[in-house]
Amino acid sequence: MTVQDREHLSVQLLIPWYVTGTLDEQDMQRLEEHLRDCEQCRREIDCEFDFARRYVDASPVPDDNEQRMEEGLGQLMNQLEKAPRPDGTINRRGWLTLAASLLIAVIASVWFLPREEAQYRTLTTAGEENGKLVFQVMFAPGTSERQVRQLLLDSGARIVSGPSPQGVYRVAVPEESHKKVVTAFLNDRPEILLVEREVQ
Amino acid sequence: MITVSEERQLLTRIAAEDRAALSALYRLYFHRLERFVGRIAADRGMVEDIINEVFFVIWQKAGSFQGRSSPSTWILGIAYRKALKAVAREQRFAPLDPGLSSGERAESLAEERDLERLLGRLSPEQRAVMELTYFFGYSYREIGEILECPENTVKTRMFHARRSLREHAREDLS
Repeated sequence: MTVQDREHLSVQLLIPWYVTGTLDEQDMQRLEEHLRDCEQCRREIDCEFDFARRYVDASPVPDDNEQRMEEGLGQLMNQLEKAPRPDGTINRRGWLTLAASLLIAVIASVWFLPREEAQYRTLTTAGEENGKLVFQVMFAPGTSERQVRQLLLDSGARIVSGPSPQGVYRVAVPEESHKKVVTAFLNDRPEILLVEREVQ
Repeated sequence: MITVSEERQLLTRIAAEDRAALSALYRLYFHRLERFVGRIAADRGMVEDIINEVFFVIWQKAGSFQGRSSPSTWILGIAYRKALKAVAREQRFAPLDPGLSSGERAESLAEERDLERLLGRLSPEQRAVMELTYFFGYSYREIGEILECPENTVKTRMFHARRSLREHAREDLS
């Protein structure tokens, strides 16, 4: 293939976008310079204009697609209600549902299990504890680490471990701070989804 | 008419789980995606399923859209990959015969049906390039971004597609 042949082919490849008017200035100049001396490409461009018009005119859109669009949108919204986000987090409603389910499970286990030495207690359970007070805390998605630390500092708590893969921190508080912690954690803080106290 | 900046804002709101923003984007793109996906994939039921798969991805991944490309490039790229996967699953191409409608000139309608039939013989990748060029009006560079392939691949796919159409049209006449 000669240099001229390669240039000819290279310009031919640009013709569809010349016809649709989307070539950049450099390609446009190159093509128009080539057209001055190439009858074949000039004929090709005439055919291409005709083809582009026919292509756009083909396949008209059906009339009922507005209704189908709204039906499709409704189906999509239903799917979103059920599915978690793929990054492992759950959407806000999913978190609230999960939190509510866990809380019910915890309360049920306290009410219906034999009253032995329970591994976990809810905050409403009275009684003295030996040693440190340790809580398991689940924060709302989107709570930054700075917010977590500030909240715990305000309550006098210290992180023992976490977050776990489920996003749960174990925090410890001095016994004398018990009431302060309870107040802080139960004060309708939107950052906190769930709190459980465990006995060590 | 919504601007590119406004589309970016919709994606930002979708990343914050704003369903109203997702609905707005859905209505904005439905007809375009119906056309584009319909060109690549098979029956109408598949097209609508694919569109919903695309928006499911948008819902999940809106936070990862960094704005290096335009929102339309990003969305059409998702639609292209979803359509190709659907075609691979079904191993079918778009229907070849759009059917007659009343009030049309027989000659121009025959031309349209011929073109649809000829386009049906191209690969999904070639049809995607043609659709993005002639109907959507993208440059070959933008098409390369959407299809995630080099610009020269876009040009050669178009070249071979146009050549195939001519050859098939000649075969039909002979």
